[in-house]
Amino acid sequence: MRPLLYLFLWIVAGLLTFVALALSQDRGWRLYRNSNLGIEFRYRNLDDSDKRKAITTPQYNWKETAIPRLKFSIKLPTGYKIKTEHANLASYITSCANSPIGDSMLVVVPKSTKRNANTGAIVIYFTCSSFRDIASGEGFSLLDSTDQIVSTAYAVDSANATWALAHNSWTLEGRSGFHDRAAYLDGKHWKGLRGATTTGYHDESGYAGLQNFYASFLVCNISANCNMVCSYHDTQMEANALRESDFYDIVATIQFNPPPSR
Amino acid sequence: MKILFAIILFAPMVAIAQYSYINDVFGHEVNLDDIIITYAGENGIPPQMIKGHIGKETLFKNAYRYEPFEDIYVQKRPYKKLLFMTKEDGTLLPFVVTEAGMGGDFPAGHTNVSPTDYERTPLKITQFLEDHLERYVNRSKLLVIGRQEYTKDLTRDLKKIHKEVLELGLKGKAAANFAIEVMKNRFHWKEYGDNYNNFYAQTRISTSYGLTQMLYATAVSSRFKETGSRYVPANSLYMNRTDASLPPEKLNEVNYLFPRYVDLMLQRLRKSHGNPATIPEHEWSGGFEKLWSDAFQQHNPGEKDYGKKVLSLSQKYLPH
Repeated sequence: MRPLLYLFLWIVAGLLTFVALALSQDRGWRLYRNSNLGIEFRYRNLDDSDKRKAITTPQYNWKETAIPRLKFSIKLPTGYKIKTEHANLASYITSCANSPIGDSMLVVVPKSTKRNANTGAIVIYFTCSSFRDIASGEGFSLLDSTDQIVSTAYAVDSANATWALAHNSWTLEGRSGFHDRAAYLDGKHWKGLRGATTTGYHDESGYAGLQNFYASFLVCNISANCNMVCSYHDTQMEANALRESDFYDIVATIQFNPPPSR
Repeated sequence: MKILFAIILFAPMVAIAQYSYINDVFGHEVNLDDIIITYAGENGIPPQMIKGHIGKETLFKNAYRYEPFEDIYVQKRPYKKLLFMTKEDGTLLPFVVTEAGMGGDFPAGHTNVSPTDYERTPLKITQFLEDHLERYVNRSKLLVIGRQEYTKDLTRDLKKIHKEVLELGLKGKAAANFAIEVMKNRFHWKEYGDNYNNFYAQTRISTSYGLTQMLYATAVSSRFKETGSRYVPANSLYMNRTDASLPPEKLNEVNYLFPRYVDLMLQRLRKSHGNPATIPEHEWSGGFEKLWSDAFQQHNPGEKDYGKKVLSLSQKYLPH
Protein backbone atom coordinates (compact mmCIF):
# COMPACT_ATOMS: atom_id res chain seq x y z
CA MET A 1 0.00 0.00 0.00
CA ARG A 2 2.78 2.41 0.95
CA PRO A 3 4.65 2.12 -2.43
CA LEU A 4 1.41 2.98 -4.18
CA LEU A 5 1.00 6.04 -1.98
CA TYR A 6 4.58 7.13 -2.78
CA LEU A 7 3.93 6.61 -6.47
CA PHE A 8 0.77 8.66 -6.24
CA LEU A 9 2.61 11.47 -4.43
CA TRP A 10 5.38 11.44 -7.06
CA ILE A 11 2.80 11.69 -9.85
CA VAL A 12 1.05 14.60 -8.08
CA ALA A 13 4.38 16.39 -7.50
CA GLY A 14 5.34 15.84 -11.15
CA LEU A 15 2.01 17.20 -12.34
CA LEU A 16 2.30 20.26 -10.09
CA THR A 17 5.81 20.93 -11.40
CA PHE A 18 4.58 20.56 -14.97
CA VAL A 19 1.68 22.97 -14.36
CA ALA A 20 4.01 25.49 -12.65
CA LEU A 21 6.46 25.31 -15.55
CA ALA A 22 3.68 25.63 -18.11
CA LEU A 23 2.27 28.66 -16.31
CA SER A 24 5.68 30.34 -16.11
CA GLN A 25 6.17 29.71 -19.86
CA ASP A 26 2.76 31.23 -20.51
CA ARG A 27 3.74 34.36 -18.70
CA GLY A 28 6.75 34.56 -20.97
CA TRP A 29 9.40 35.04 -18.29
CA ARG A 30 12.90 33.66 -18.77
CA LEU A 31 16.08 33.84 -16.75
CA TYR A 32 19.28 35.14 -18.33
CA ARG A 33 22.55 34.41 -16.54
CA ASN A 34 26.11 35.36 -17.48
CA SER A 35 28.47 33.79 -14.98
CA ASN A 36 31.56 35.60 -16.35
CA LEU A 37 30.02 38.98 -15.57
CA GLY A 38 28.12 37.71 -12.56
CA ILE A 39 24.84 39.13 -13.76
CA GLU A 40 21.42 37.58 -14.04
CA PHE A 41 17.98 38.94 -14.70
CA ARG A 42 14.50 37.83 -15.56
CA TYR A 43 13.14 39.12 -18.82
CA ARG A 44 10.19 38.99 -21.13
CA ASN A 45 11.85 40.64 -24.11
CA LEU A 46 15.42 39.88 -25.01
CA ASP A 47 16.68 40.67 -28.46
CA ASP A 48 17.25 37.01 -29.28
CA SER A 49 16.22 37.10 -32.92
CA ASP A 50 16.55 33.51 -34.07
CA LYS A 51 17.75 34.40 -37.54
CA ARG A 52 21.13 35.40 -36.12
CA LYS A 53 23.54 32.85 -34.72
CA ALA A 54 24.84 33.63 -31.25
CA ILE A 55 28.51 34.57 -31.31
CA THR A 56 29.21 31.77 -28.85
CA THR A 57 28.54 29.19 -31.59
CA PRO A 58 31.68 27.39 -32.90
CA GLN A 59 31.58 29.15 -36.28
CA TYR A 60 33.02 32.27 -34.65
CA ASN A 61 36.71 32.60 -33.85
CA TRP A 62 37.62 35.09 -31.19
CA LYS A 63 40.60 37.40 -31.46
CA GLU A 64 42.04 39.57 -28.72
CA THR A 65 42.55 43.24 -29.48
CA ALA A 66 44.71 45.28 -27.12
CA ILE A 67 44.22 49.03 -26.81
CA PRO A 68 47.41 50.09 -24.98
CA ARG A 69 46.57 53.80 -24.74
CA LEU A 70 43.39 53.00 -22.87
CA LYS A 71 44.97 50.13 -20.94
CA PHE A 72 42.50 47.41 -21.75
CA SER A 73 41.98 44.55 -24.15
CA ILE A 74 38.83 43.03 -25.56
CA LYS A 75 38.07 39.86 -27.49
CA LEU A 76 35.93 40.12 -30.57
CA PRO A 77 34.34 37.38 -32.69
CA THR A 78 35.02 36.99 -36.41
CA GLY A 79 33.52 39.76 -38.45
CA TYR A 80 33.77 42.53 -35.86
CA LYS A 81 36.24 45.36 -35.46
CA ILE A 82 36.81 48.39 -33.27
CA LYS A 83 36.27 51.82 -34.73
CA THR A 84 37.62 54.80 -32.81
CA GLU A 85 35.42 57.84 -32.59
CA HIS A 86 35.78 61.25 -31.10
CA ALA A 87 33.63 62.03 -28.16
CA ASN A 88 30.16 63.00 -29.24
CA LEU A 89 28.41 62.31 -26.04
CA ALA A 90 25.28 63.77 -24.62
CA SER A 91 25.85 66.94 -22.67
CA TYR A 92 24.97 65.27 -19.38
CA ILE A 93 27.84 62.83 -19.77
CA THR A 94 30.92 64.59 -18.44
CA SER A 95 34.19 63.20 -19.68
CA CYS A 96 36.82 62.19 -17.15
CA ALA A 97 38.35 65.44 -16.01
CA ASN A 98 42.03 65.94 -16.82
CA SER A 99 42.33 62.41 -18.08
CA PRO A 100 43.87 61.49 -21.44
CA ILE A 101 41.15 58.91 -21.93
CA GLY A 102 38.34 61.33 -21.20
CA ASP A 103 37.57 62.02 -24.83
CA SER A 104 37.77 58.44 -26.02
CA MET A 105 34.83 56.66 -27.51
CA LEU A 106 35.16 53.29 -29.21
CA VAL A 107 32.51 51.56 -31.23
CA VAL A 108 32.44 47.84 -31.91
CA VAL A 109 30.97 47.36 -35.38
CA PRO A 110 30.60 44.61 -37.96
CA LYS A 111 33.55 44.79 -40.39
CA SER A 112 31.11 45.39 -43.24
CA THR A 113 29.99 48.69 -41.67
CA LYS A 114 30.65 51.61 -44.00
CA ARG A 115 33.27 54.07 -42.90
CA ASN A 116 30.94 56.93 -42.09
CA ALA A 117 27.93 54.90 -41.03
CA ASN A 118 26.69 56.08 -37.67
CA THR A 119 25.89 52.68 -36.31
CA GLY A 120 27.54 50.62 -33.65
CA ALA A 121 26.84 47.34 -32.03
CA ILE A 122 28.57 48.31 -28.77
CA VAL A 123 29.65 51.79 -27.72
CA ILE A 124 32.44 52.10 -25.13
CA TYR A 125 33.22 55.43 -23.48
CA PHE A 126 34.78 56.88 -20.35
CA THR A 127 33.15 59.31 -17.97
CA CYS A 128 33.31 60.62 -14.42
CA SER A 129 29.52 61.02 -14.32
CA SER A 130 27.54 59.28 -11.61
CA PHE A 131 25.67 56.05 -12.30
CA ARG A 132 22.40 57.96 -12.28
CA ASP A 133 23.65 60.48 -14.85
CA ILE A 134 25.03 57.74 -17.07
CA ALA A 135 21.69 55.95 -16.80
CA SER A 136 19.88 59.14 -17.76
CA GLY A 137 22.07 59.55 -20.82
CA GLU A 138 21.32 55.96 -21.78
CA GLY A 139 17.56 56.53 -21.56
CA PHE A 140 16.90 55.04 -18.10
CA SER A 141 15.38 56.89 -15.20
CA LEU A 142 14.74 56.16 -11.58
CA LEU A 143 11.14 56.65 -10.57
CA ASP A 144 10.82 59.17 -7.80
CA SER A 145 8.00 61.05 -6.18
CA THR A 146 8.19 63.86 -8.74
CA ASP A 147 8.05 61.54 -11.73
CA GLN A 148 5.05 62.22 -13.89
CA ILE A 149 4.17 58.56 -14.27
CA VAL A 150 4.36 57.95 -10.53
CA SER A 151 2.45 61.14 -9.81
CA THR A 152 -0.36 59.78 -11.90
CA ALA A 153 0.09 56.33 -10.45
CA TYR A 154 -0.26 57.83 -6.97
CA ALA A 155 -3.55 59.25 -8.01
CA VAL A 156 -4.87 55.97 -9.30
CA ASP A 157 -2.78 53.22 -7.84
CA SER A 158 -1.01 54.19 -4.66
CA ALA A 159 -0.08 50.59 -3.85
CA ASN A 160 1.85 50.18 -7.08
CA ALA A 161 3.55 53.56 -6.81
CA THR A 162 4.65 52.76 -3.28
CA TRP A 163 6.09 49.49 -4.55
CA ALA A 164 8.00 51.31 -7.26
CA LEU A 165 9.53 53.77 -4.81
CA ALA A 166 10.36 51.11 -2.25
CA HIS A 167 12.23 49.08 -4.85
CA ASN A 168 14.06 52.04 -6.40
CA SER A 169 12.42 51.02 -9.60
CA TRP A 170 14.36 51.86 -12.75
CA THR A 171 12.58 52.31 -16.03
CA LEU A 172 13.61 52.51 -19.66
CA GLU A 173 12.06 55.43 -21.50
CA GLY A 174 10.41 54.74 -24.80
CA ARG A 175 8.57 56.95 -27.22
CA SER A 176 6.88 60.04 -25.94
CA GLY A 177 7.34 59.26 -22.28
CA PHE A 178 6.38 55.59 -22.36
CA HIS A 179 8.20 53.71 -19.62
CA ASP A 180 8.83 50.05 -19.02
CA ARG A 181 10.46 48.61 -15.95
CA ALA A 182 14.20 47.98 -16.28
CA ALA A 183 16.38 45.41 -14.51
CA TYR A 184 19.31 46.48 -12.36
CA LEU A 185 22.41 44.42 -13.17
CA ASP A 186 24.75 43.90 -10.26
CA GLY A 187 27.77 41.94 -11.43
CA LYS A 188 31.24 41.15 -10.11
CA HIS A 189 32.86 44.34 -11.35
CA TRP A 190 30.13 45.73 -13.55
CA LYS A 191 26.86 47.39 -12.67
CA GLY A 192 24.22 48.40 -15.14
CA LEU A 193 20.67 48.33 -16.38
CA ARG A 194 18.78 46.62 -19.15
CA GLY A 195 15.29 46.94 -20.47
CA ALA A 196 12.96 46.60 -23.41
CA THR A 197 10.26 49.05 -24.36
CA THR A 198 8.73 50.52 -27.50
CA THR A 199 9.79 53.45 -29.60
CA GLY A 200 8.58 54.99 -32.83
CA TYR A 201 9.41 53.77 -36.27
CA HIS A 202 9.34 56.23 -39.16
CA ASP A 203 9.00 55.68 -42.87
CA GLU A 204 8.82 58.15 -45.74
CA SER A 205 5.38 59.35 -44.64
CA GLY A 206 6.36 60.01 -41.02
CA TYR A 207 5.55 58.16 -37.82
CA ALA A 208 4.61 54.60 -38.74
CA GLY A 209 4.07 52.90 -35.39
CA LEU A 210 5.72 51.48 -32.32
CA GLN A 211 8.51 48.95 -32.50
CA ASN A 212 10.57 47.13 -29.88
CA PHE A 213 13.54 48.97 -28.44
CA TYR A 214 16.23 47.21 -26.38
CA ALA A 215 18.85 49.00 -24.32
CA SER A 216 21.49 47.94 -21.86
CA PHE A 217 24.63 49.39 -20.39
CA LEU A 218 27.32 48.22 -17.99
CA VAL A 219 29.60 50.47 -15.94
CA CYS A 220 32.96 49.52 -14.46
CA ASN A 221 34.68 51.88 -12.07
CA ILE A 222 38.30 51.93 -13.25
CA SER A 223 39.72 54.68 -11.03
CA ALA A 224 38.66 57.21 -8.45
CA ASN A 225 37.13 59.55 -11.00
CA CYS A 226 36.63 57.46 -14.10
CA ASN A 227 34.11 54.87 -15.24
CA MET A 228 34.17 52.76 -18.36
CA VAL A 229 30.72 52.43 -19.87
CA CYS A 230 29.69 49.80 -22.44
CA SER A 231 26.30 50.39 -24.01
CA TYR A 232 24.03 48.54 -26.38
CA HIS A 233 20.91 49.78 -28.18
CA ASP A 234 18.84 47.99 -30.78
CA THR A 235 15.42 48.19 -32.36
CA GLN A 236 13.20 45.77 -34.20
CA MET A 237 13.66 47.56 -37.52
CA GLU A 238 17.39 48.22 -37.31
CA ALA A 239 18.11 44.64 -36.28
CA ASN A 240 21.59 45.33 -35.01
CA ALA A 241 24.14 42.70 -35.96
CA LEU A 242 24.62 41.68 -32.33
CA ARG A 243 22.07 40.08 -30.05
CA GLU A 244 21.75 41.45 -26.55
CA SER A 245 23.28 38.29 -25.09
CA ASP A 246 26.26 38.79 -27.47
CA PHE A 247 26.77 42.20 -25.89
CA TYR A 248 27.23 40.66 -22.45
CA ASP A 249 29.52 37.94 -23.84
CA ILE A 250 31.83 40.52 -25.44
CA VAL A 251 31.90 42.84 -22.41
CA ALA A 252 32.87 39.84 -20.29
CA THR A 253 36.14 39.55 -22.27
CA ILE A 254 37.39 43.03 -21.30
CA GLN A 255 40.63 42.85 -19.33
CA PHE A 256 42.27 45.88 -17.74
CA ASN A 257 46.05 46.16 -17.68
CA PRO A 258 46.90 46.87 -14.97
CA PRO A 259 43.71 45.78 -13.20
CA PRO A 260 41.84 48.72 -11.71
CA SER A 261 42.38 49.36 -8.01
CA ARG A 262 39.00 48.90 -6.43
CA MET B 1 19.36 77.93 -69.55
CA LYS B 2 16.52 80.21 -68.50
CA ILE B 3 14.69 77.27 -66.99
CA LEU B 4 17.78 76.23 -65.03
CA PHE B 5 18.21 79.78 -63.76
CA ALA B 6 14.56 79.88 -62.68
CA ILE B 7 14.93 76.60 -60.78
CA ILE B 8 18.06 77.79 -58.96
CA LEU B 9 16.40 81.11 -58.07
CA PHE B 10 12.99 79.91 -56.96
CA ALA B 11 13.58 76.40 -55.55
CA PRO B 12 14.71 77.65 -52.10
CA MET B 13 11.65 79.93 -51.86
CA VAL B 14 9.33 77.04 -52.59
CA ALA B 15 11.08 74.97 -49.92
CA ILE B 16 10.72 77.74 -47.34
CA ALA B 17 7.11 78.41 -48.14
CA GLN B 18 5.89 74.84 -48.11
CA TYR B 19 3.27 73.92 -45.55
CA SER B 20 2.85 77.53 -44.43
CA TYR B 21 -0.87 76.93 -44.81
CA ILE B 22 -2.49 73.59 -44.02
CA ASN B 23 -6.02 72.33 -43.63
CA ASP B 24 -6.72 71.74 -39.96
CA VAL B 25 -8.72 68.84 -38.53
CA PHE B 26 -11.94 70.79 -39.19
CA GLY B 27 -11.00 71.12 -42.86
CA HIS B 28 -10.37 74.87 -42.57
CA GLU B 29 -7.27 76.42 -44.06
CA VAL B 30 -5.07 77.85 -41.29
CA ASN B 31 -1.80 79.74 -41.33
CA LEU B 32 0.38 77.17 -39.60
CA ASP B 33 3.43 79.46 -39.65
CA ASP B 34 1.54 82.12 -37.65
CA ILE B 35 0.40 79.56 -35.08
CA ILE B 36 3.87 78.07 -34.71
CA ILE B 37 5.52 81.49 -34.42
CA THR B 38 3.08 82.46 -31.66
CA TYR B 39 3.76 79.37 -29.52
CA ALA B 40 7.47 79.38 -30.35
CA GLY B 41 7.79 83.06 -29.41
CA GLU B 42 5.93 82.63 -26.12
CA ASN B 43 8.20 79.78 -25.09
CA GLY B 44 11.58 80.56 -26.62
CA ILE B 45 11.59 77.65 -29.03
CA PRO B 46 12.99 78.21 -32.55
CA PRO B 47 9.89 77.99 -34.80
CA GLN B 48 11.69 76.11 -37.57
CA MET B 49 12.44 73.31 -35.09
CA ILE B 50 8.74 72.85 -34.30
CA LYS B 51 8.04 72.77 -38.01
CA GLY B 52 10.87 70.32 -38.63
CA HIS B 53 9.46 68.09 -35.89
CA ILE B 54 6.00 68.15 -37.47
CA GLY B 55 7.57 67.32 -40.83
CA LYS B 56 9.35 64.35 -39.30
CA GLU B 57 6.28 63.03 -37.46
CA THR B 58 3.34 63.53 -39.79
CA LEU B 59 4.25 65.48 -42.93
CA PHE B 60 1.72 68.07 -41.69
CA LYS B 61 -1.27 65.72 -41.56
CA ASN B 62 -3.88 65.59 -38.78
CA ALA B 63 -2.96 62.01 -38.11
CA TYR B 64 -4.16 59.49 -35.61
CA ARG B 65 -2.59 56.10 -35.16
CA TYR B 66 -3.94 53.28 -33.02
CA GLU B 67 -1.38 50.79 -31.67
CA PRO B 68 -3.02 47.33 -31.44
CA PHE B 69 -0.01 45.50 -30.00
CA GLU B 70 0.60 48.16 -27.35
CA ASP B 71 -3.12 47.92 -26.61
CA ILE B 72 -2.85 44.20 -25.86
CA TYR B 73 0.14 44.92 -23.62
CA VAL B 74 -1.86 47.49 -21.63
CA GLN B 75 -5.04 45.43 -21.40
CA LYS B 76 -3.15 42.43 -20.04
CA ARG B 77 -1.55 44.45 -17.22
CA PRO B 78 -3.70 45.68 -14.32
CA TYR B 79 -1.19 48.47 -13.52
CA LYS B 80 -1.36 49.88 -17.03
CA LYS B 81 -5.13 49.46 -17.10
CA LEU B 82 -5.34 51.51 -13.92
CA LEU B 83 -3.50 54.33 -15.64
CA PHE B 84 -5.56 54.47 -18.78
CA MET B 85 -8.74 52.40 -18.60
CA THR B 86 -10.23 52.09 -15.12
CA LYS B 87 -10.74 54.15 -11.98
CA GLU B 88 -9.62 53.02 -8.52
CA ASP B 89 -12.99 51.33 -7.93
CA GLY B 90 -12.72 49.35 -11.15
CA THR B 91 -15.30 51.37 -13.08
CA LEU B 92 -14.36 52.27 -16.62
CA LEU B 93 -12.90 55.62 -17.56
CA PRO B 94 -14.47 57.66 -20.34
CA PHE B 95 -13.57 56.72 -23.92
CA VAL B 96 -12.95 53.06 -23.14
CA VAL B 97 -14.44 51.06 -26.00
CA THR B 98 -16.82 48.31 -24.93
CA GLU B 99 -19.51 46.25 -26.56
CA ALA B 100 -21.92 49.03 -25.59
CA GLY B 101 -20.15 51.77 -27.48
CA MET B 102 -17.18 54.08 -27.91
CA GLY B 103 -17.15 55.42 -24.34
CA GLY B 104 -18.27 58.95 -25.13
CA ASP B 105 -18.84 61.51 -27.84
CA PHE B 106 -16.31 62.39 -30.52
CA PRO B 107 -15.43 66.07 -30.99
CA ALA B 108 -17.73 67.75 -33.48
CA GLY B 109 -16.50 68.68 -36.93
CA HIS B 110 -13.34 66.57 -37.21
CA THR B 111 -13.65 65.90 -40.91
CA ASN B 112 -10.01 66.06 -42.01
CA VAL B 113 -8.33 63.11 -40.32
CA SER B 114 -5.53 60.94 -41.68
CA PRO B 115 -5.27 58.16 -42.81
CA THR B 116 -9.04 57.51 -42.46
CA ASP B 117 -11.83 58.73 -40.21
CA TYR B 118 -11.77 57.64 -36.54
CA GLU B 119 -13.13 54.18 -35.76
CA ARG B 120 -16.69 54.92 -34.65
CA THR B 121 -17.98 51.43 -33.86
CA PRO B 122 -16.64 48.96 -31.29
CA LEU B 123 -14.32 46.36 -32.79
CA LYS B 124 -12.39 43.49 -31.31
CA ILE B 125 -8.67 43.73 -32.04
CA THR B 126 -8.94 40.82 -34.45
CA GLN B 127 -11.62 42.70 -36.41
CA PHE B 128 -9.48 45.83 -36.52
CA LEU B 129 -6.48 43.91 -37.87
CA GLU B 130 -8.69 42.15 -40.38
CA ASP B 131 -9.41 45.63 -41.77
CA HIS B 132 -6.07 47.38 -41.26
CA LEU B 133 -3.18 44.94 -40.78
CA GLU B 134 -1.31 46.55 -43.71
CA ARG B 135 -0.71 49.67 -41.55
CA TYR B 136 1.51 47.61 -39.26
CA VAL B 137 3.59 45.77 -41.84
CA ASN B 138 6.89 46.88 -43.28
CA ARG B 139 6.64 45.40 -46.75
CA SER B 140 10.32 45.56 -47.70
CA LYS B 141 11.41 43.65 -44.59
CA LEU B 142 8.16 41.68 -44.23
CA LEU B 143 7.99 42.59 -40.56
CA VAL B 144 4.88 43.13 -38.47
CA ILE B 145 5.79 46.20 -36.41
CA GLY B 146 4.97 46.33 -32.72
CA ARG B 147 5.80 44.64 -29.44
CA GLN B 148 7.62 41.52 -30.50
CA GLU B 149 6.03 39.33 -27.86
CA TYR B 150 2.86 39.70 -29.93
CA THR B 151 4.22 40.32 -33.44
CA LYS B 152 6.91 37.66 -33.61
CA ASP B 153 4.45 34.90 -34.51
CA LEU B 154 2.69 37.15 -37.01
CA THR B 155 5.99 38.01 -38.73
CA ARG B 156 6.89 34.31 -38.87
CA ASP B 157 3.54 33.46 -40.48
CA LEU B 158 3.73 36.40 -42.89
CA LYS B 159 7.14 35.30 -44.14
CA LYS B 160 5.96 31.72 -44.52
CA ILE B 161 2.91 32.79 -46.52
CA HIS B 162 5.03 35.18 -48.60
CA LYS B 163 7.35 32.30 -49.51
CA GLU B 164 4.38 30.25 -50.68
CA VAL B 165 3.04 33.20 -52.65
CA LEU B 166 6.39 33.61 -54.43
CA GLU B 167 6.23 29.95 -55.42
CA LEU B 168 2.86 30.69 -57.02
CA GLY B 169 4.57 33.21 -59.28
CA LEU B 170 3.65 36.55 -57.71
CA LYS B 171 6.53 38.99 -57.23
CA GLY B 172 7.53 42.17 -55.41
CA LYS B 173 4.83 44.39 -53.92
CA ALA B 174 2.04 42.19 -55.28
CA ALA B 175 3.41 39.18 -53.42
CA ALA B 176 3.71 41.14 -50.17
CA ASN B 177 0.19 42.54 -50.54
CA PHE B 178 -1.24 39.10 -51.26
CA ALA B 179 0.48 37.65 -48.18
CA ILE B 180 -0.96 40.48 -46.06
CA GLU B 181 -4.45 39.75 -47.41
CA VAL B 182 -4.06 36.07 -46.44
CA MET B 183 -3.06 37.18 -42.94
CA LYS B 184 -6.09 39.46 -42.74
CA ASN B 185 -8.24 36.49 -43.60
CA ARG B 186 -6.72 34.62 -40.67
CA PHE B 187 -7.78 37.46 -38.39
CA HIS B 188 -11.26 37.20 -39.93
CA TRP B 189 -11.38 33.55 -38.88
CA LYS B 190 -10.01 34.45 -35.43
CA GLU B 191 -6.97 32.23 -35.78
CA TYR B 192 -4.69 34.27 -33.51
CA GLY B 193 -6.13 33.51 -30.09
CA ASP B 194 -7.50 35.28 -27.07
CA ASN B 195 -5.27 38.38 -27.18
CA TYR B 196 -6.97 39.40 -30.40
CA ASN B 197 -10.39 37.82 -30.02
CA ASN B 198 -11.28 38.85 -26.46
CA PHE B 199 -10.11 42.46 -26.17
CA TYR B 200 -11.96 45.39 -27.67
CA ALA B 201 -9.62 47.59 -29.70
CA GLN B 202 -9.08 50.74 -27.60
CA THR B 203 -8.87 52.84 -30.72
CA ARG B 204 -9.32 56.08 -28.75
CA ILE B 205 -6.93 55.44 -25.86
CA SER B 206 -4.00 53.41 -27.24
CA THR B 207 -3.50 56.00 -29.91
CA SER B 208 -1.32 58.96 -30.87
CA TYR B 209 -2.79 62.13 -32.30
CA GLY B 210 -2.08 65.38 -34.04
CA LEU B 211 0.70 67.05 -35.98
CA THR B 212 3.35 65.88 -33.49
CA GLN B 213 1.74 62.52 -32.71
CA MET B 214 1.29 62.89 -28.98
CA LEU B 215 0.19 59.65 -27.35
CA TYR B 216 -3.02 59.95 -25.35
CA ALA B 217 -1.16 57.99 -22.67
CA THR B 218 1.42 60.79 -22.51
CA ALA B 219 -1.25 63.47 -22.32
CA VAL B 220 -3.03 61.88 -19.35
CA SER B 221 0.17 61.20 -17.43
CA SER B 222 2.00 64.53 -17.92
CA ARG B 223 1.62 67.84 -16.13
CA PHE B 224 2.28 71.43 -17.19
CA LYS B 225 5.64 72.13 -15.58
CA GLU B 226 7.46 74.59 -17.83
CA THR B 227 4.84 77.01 -19.11
CA GLY B 228 3.53 78.06 -15.70
CA SER B 229 -0.04 79.27 -15.97
CA ARG B 230 0.37 80.66 -19.48
CA TYR B 231 -2.28 78.34 -20.90
CA VAL B 232 -3.91 76.52 -17.98
CA PRO B 233 -3.38 76.55 -14.20
CA ALA B 234 0.20 75.49 -13.44
CA ASN B 235 0.76 71.81 -12.67
CA SER B 236 -2.51 70.76 -14.31
CA LEU B 237 -2.52 67.47 -16.15
CA TYR B 238 -2.28 67.85 -19.92
CA MET B 239 -5.56 65.94 -20.09
CA ASN B 240 -7.68 64.70 -17.24
CA ARG B 241 -8.51 61.09 -17.99
CA THR B 242 -11.68 61.24 -15.89
CA ASP B 243 -13.14 64.25 -17.73
CA ALA B 244 -15.80 62.93 -20.09
CA SER B 245 -15.92 66.27 -21.90
CA LEU B 246 -12.32 65.91 -23.13
CA PRO B 247 -12.16 63.26 -25.83
CA PRO B 248 -8.66 62.07 -26.80
CA GLU B 249 -9.25 63.29 -30.35
CA LYS B 250 -8.97 66.91 -29.04
CA LEU B 251 -5.21 66.36 -29.45
CA ASN B 252 -5.80 66.62 -33.18
CA GLU B 253 -6.83 70.29 -32.74
CA VAL B 254 -3.76 72.48 -33.25
CA ASN B 255 -4.58 75.02 -30.55
CA TYR B 256 -5.30 72.27 -28.04
CA LEU B 257 -2.19 70.26 -28.89
CA PHE B 258 0.37 73.06 -29.01
CA PRO B 259 0.35 74.22 -25.35
CA ARG B 260 0.90 70.61 -24.33
CA TYR B 261 3.50 69.98 -27.00
CA VAL B 262 5.63 73.05 -26.18
CA ASP B 263 5.48 72.30 -22.45
CA LEU B 264 6.65 68.72 -23.08
CA MET B 265 9.47 69.91 -25.35
CA LEU B 266 10.64 72.37 -22.69
CA GLN B 267 10.60 69.56 -20.10
CA ARG B 268 12.86 67.59 -22.42
CA LEU B 269 15.12 70.58 -23.01
CA ARG B 270 15.52 71.01 -19.27
CA LYS B 271 16.41 67.34 -18.98
CA SER B 272 19.03 67.66 -21.69
CA HIS B 273 20.55 70.45 -19.56
CA GLY B 274 20.86 67.92 -16.72
CA ASN B 275 17.59 68.80 -14.97
CA PRO B 276 18.45 72.16 -13.35
CA ALA B 277 15.62 73.95 -11.51
CA THR B 278 15.03 76.11 -14.59
CA ILE B 279 16.36 76.16 -18.12
CA PRO B 280 19.43 78.46 -18.12
CA GLU B 281 18.89 81.73 -19.96
CA HIS B 282 22.52 81.99 -21.13
CA GLU B 283 25.63 79.90 -21.62
CA TRP B 284 24.20 76.58 -22.59
CA SER B 285 27.08 74.19 -22.01
CA GLY B 286 27.17 71.67 -24.80
CA GLY B 287 25.90 74.12 -27.39
CA PHE B 288 22.50 75.31 -28.54
CA GLU B 289 21.97 72.78 -31.34
CA LYS B 290 23.32 69.84 -29.34
CA LEU B 291 20.95 70.50 -26.44
CA TRP B 292 17.94 70.85 -28.74
CA SER B 293 18.98 67.73 -30.61
CA ASP B 294 19.11 65.86 -27.28
CA ALA B 295 15.67 67.25 -26.38
CA PHE B 296 14.10 65.99 -29.62
CA GLN B 297 15.94 62.67 -29.27
CA GLN B 298 13.99 62.10 -26.04
CA HIS B 299 10.77 62.12 -28.07
CA ASN B 300 11.87 58.91 -29.75
CA PRO B 301 14.87 57.50 -27.88
CA GLY B 302 15.41 54.29 -29.83
CA GLU B 303 15.78 55.84 -33.27
CA LYS B 304 19.39 56.64 -34.03
CA ASP B 305 19.95 60.35 -34.63
CA TYR B 306 16.23 61.19 -34.38
CA GLY B 307 17.08 64.56 -32.81
CA LYS B 308 19.65 65.37 -35.46
CA LYS B 309 17.18 64.45 -38.20
CA VAL B 310 14.60 66.85 -36.75
CA LEU B 311 17.16 69.66 -36.66
CA SER B 312 18.28 68.85 -40.18
CA LEU B 313 14.67 68.98 -41.41
CA SER B 314 14.14 72.28 -39.60
CA GLN B 315 16.69 73.90 -41.91
CA LYS B 316 14.04 73.65 -44.64
CA TYR B 317 11.74 75.88 -42.63
CA LEU B 318 13.94 78.77 -41.57
CA PRO B 319 11.90 81.97 -41.19
CA HIS B 320 12.28 84.34 -44.08
